[in-house]
Amino acid sequence: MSGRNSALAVPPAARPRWNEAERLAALREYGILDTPPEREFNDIIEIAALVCEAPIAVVNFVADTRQFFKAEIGLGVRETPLDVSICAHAILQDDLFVVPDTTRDPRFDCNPLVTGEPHLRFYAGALLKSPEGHALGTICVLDHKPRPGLTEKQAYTLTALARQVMTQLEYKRMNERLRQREEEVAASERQLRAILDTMPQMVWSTRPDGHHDYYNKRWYEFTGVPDGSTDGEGWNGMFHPDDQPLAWERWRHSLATGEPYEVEYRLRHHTGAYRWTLGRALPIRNGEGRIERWFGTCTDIDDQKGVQEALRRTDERLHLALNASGTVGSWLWDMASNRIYADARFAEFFGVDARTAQTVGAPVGTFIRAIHPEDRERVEASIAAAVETGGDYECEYRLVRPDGSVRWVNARGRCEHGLDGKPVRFPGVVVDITDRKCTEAELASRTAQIEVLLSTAPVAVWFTDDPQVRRVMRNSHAAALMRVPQETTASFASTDKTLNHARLRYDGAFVTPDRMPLQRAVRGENVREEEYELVFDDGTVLTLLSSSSPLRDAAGEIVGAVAISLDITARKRIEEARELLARELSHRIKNIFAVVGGLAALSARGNEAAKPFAEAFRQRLSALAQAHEYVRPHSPDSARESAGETVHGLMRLLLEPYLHEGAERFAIEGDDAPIGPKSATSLALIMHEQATNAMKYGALSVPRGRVVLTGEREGGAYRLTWREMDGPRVEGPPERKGFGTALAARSVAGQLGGSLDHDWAPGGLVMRLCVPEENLSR
Amino acid sequence: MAPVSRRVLIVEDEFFVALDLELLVHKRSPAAEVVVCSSLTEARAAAKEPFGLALLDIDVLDGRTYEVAQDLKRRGTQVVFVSGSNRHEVPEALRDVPFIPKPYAPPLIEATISAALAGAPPAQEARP
Repeated sequence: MSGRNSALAVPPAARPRWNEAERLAALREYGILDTPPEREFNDIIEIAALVCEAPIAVVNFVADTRQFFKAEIGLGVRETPLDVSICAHAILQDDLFVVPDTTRDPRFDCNPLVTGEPHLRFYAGALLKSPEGHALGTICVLDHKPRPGLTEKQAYTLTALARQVMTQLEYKRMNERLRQREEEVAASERQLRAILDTMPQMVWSTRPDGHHDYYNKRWYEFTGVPDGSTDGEGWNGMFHPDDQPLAWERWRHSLATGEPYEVEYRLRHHTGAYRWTLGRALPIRNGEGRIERWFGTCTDIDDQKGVQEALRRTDERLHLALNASGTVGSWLWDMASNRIYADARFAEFFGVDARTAQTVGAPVGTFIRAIHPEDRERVEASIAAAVETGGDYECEYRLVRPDGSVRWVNARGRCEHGLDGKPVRFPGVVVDITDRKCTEAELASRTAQIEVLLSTAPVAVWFTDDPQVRRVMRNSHAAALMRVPQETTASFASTDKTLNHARLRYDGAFVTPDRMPLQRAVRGENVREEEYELVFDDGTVLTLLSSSSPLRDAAGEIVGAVAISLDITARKRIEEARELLARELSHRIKNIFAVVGGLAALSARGNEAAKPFAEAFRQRLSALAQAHEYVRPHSPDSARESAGETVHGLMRLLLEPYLHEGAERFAIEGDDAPIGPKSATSLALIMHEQATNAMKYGALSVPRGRVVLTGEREGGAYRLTWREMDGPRVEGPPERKGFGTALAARSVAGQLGGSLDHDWAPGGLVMRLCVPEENLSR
Repeated sequence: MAPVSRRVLIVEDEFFVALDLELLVHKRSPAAEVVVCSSLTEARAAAKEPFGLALLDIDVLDGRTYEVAQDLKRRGTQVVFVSGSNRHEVPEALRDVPFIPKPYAPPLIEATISAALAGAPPAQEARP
């Protein structure tokens, strides 16, 4: 054993550069171990055995514990353990390893293959070395008898065959690598397709000549065209006709130059609608820089496009507006030379020669001079601050033009500092804001006017921009009215207790905040002159006439509300006093009527002949008094005897005294009609005479008799029929017309412009009164 | 003192009206004893006595006669308002008291007097 060990001890100079683990890994990589015999390797050892005239030839690979024979002649085994291997020694040598007689070599004289069957006495092996320098095994020939060595021809052949074995191995290894690579490519292609198909964008690819050969699923979903139908150049037909030329042109340009392709076009959706789409493509180049494929995407940007379009138009308009109004000038202040270079417009603004400003620049002072004296100090301070800090600069100031006119400008710039922290450049632009300043001034003045107006007019004004109406602004009158400081924005709807000392009442009931005018207006209602009472804890009650309206923006959306209130407490008091006076007057008049009536009766006292006169007089007086009361101007507070001023209403009032004698004796039926003060007195007199006569001579003179009054409106006329029934038989018209009857007839003709006729029918008197309706309401 | 049924109280601050009413009472009931008051103070004092009928103006010189009317009504006097005031101003408790508006028609007063002094209730208002 010791001999073998010493035999394995290799002199340091021969030690290989690889270690055993690397060598074994390299061997495994070739995938040759345990593979079946192959013709290529068999042929090689046939040649080796033939050329070397040896009975045994082997291609073997030295693994970790064994050697594997890929091909063998004369051995009859595919592998042997490593401890009997001669090749294990051979791989530690360079190139060719020859042992002329194993029994005379201490490394092998104990080897069982030498001492016993198959009695190996001669060995010659050429190393199988990978391109990386790993010794993998040998190709060797062996003999049962000792030999002096190999001839030169034989040695050459064996080493050449060793290279041939390695070529075969390399070839196999390459093939294997290629197969794996192909598998990987196929797998990654499958993954790519899966990824492309799940992408929200449309993806396509083309050959280097631009021939489209692939579209992802999304493309087909979007366009709805059959698979493969847009291969080649069919894609261009999917674009809006107006966009096709541009897309073609860009695509051809990219194909020709290899520059990235990017274009926006309208792509036909499967619904038939065209949607704005961003198309982009990049070339994929191989190692030599040649384009192998183009990969492209289409992104639906139709939604963004709308916004972009709007932005672009706004931008254009802005540019146009700025250019047209000539309000922008720009400057560049070179700090080193302390000169300002400016465009013509800027120079013109500052009264500096345009050519000078554009070419050689002008000293800063030249420009500063143009600034209004009152503003100059402020501007200089602002500039100094920007220069100091290297920050943004913005300043509004006045320029005095050469002609003496004053313009307001807004200047904006930025002082740029160098690496050393010193100011280098100071560029900026200046805008003419004179118009805006004028507008501002006008607005301020108008606001002031409104404020004056609001505080001068005795109108309380509330305003809110809060949909919940928790924040309310009020003018001084409103604040005074509510007894709150003007600066408070509390409202009835807000949670604090600022307004707890007051409540709002409408029609006798307290109003919840959501029903208050301002809140109703915020919800879109217009409140018109409603009368509210503002009730304070101390008992004060103010009467307010309030209106409110929603405030809308240009789009018509409600953005707030305004309410105004007039304090009509004083007016209300006057109205009440007037009403009281009217009532008192009415009371007095009635009393006077009563007194006159009483006087008449008293005057006739003792004079029997005068008594009927006095009686009739005071009854007519009474009828007139009632008519007067009925139609006198009433306020809503002084309730009338019956609702509205109508014929029926007056009739009921006049006949009321007679109704006391039995309700069923009078019936008032048919159409009603409104009456005015003048016709009321006439009607009162007529009806009074009718009733009096009916009491004396007609239907009402007997208990069962009754009267039916019927109104009819017809063709602009009002007809009132008085029909007596169940009274004494009527013998005919009375011989003499009484004063009352004559009075009635004249009053109908004169005052009412109507007609009155009596029909003395035997069953009862029928009186027909016909008056134009328009006269009735006078 | 005449029997209560023939005792009539008139409260009226207008002399001629009071006189007219008094005559109307006597026309119907010559034996009636009429007490005329022209102020609330007088009326309060007079109302302590029993009356069969009271014709009361509402507004008199020193106030309104509602309280007197309540008082009289409670003690069984037939009360009638003869007034130029608005009928609707009469307090709820006195709404059942007959109301003859001024200027009045004498027959109505007479009918009321007759009914009251005969011990019958006056013709009830039969307003439509």
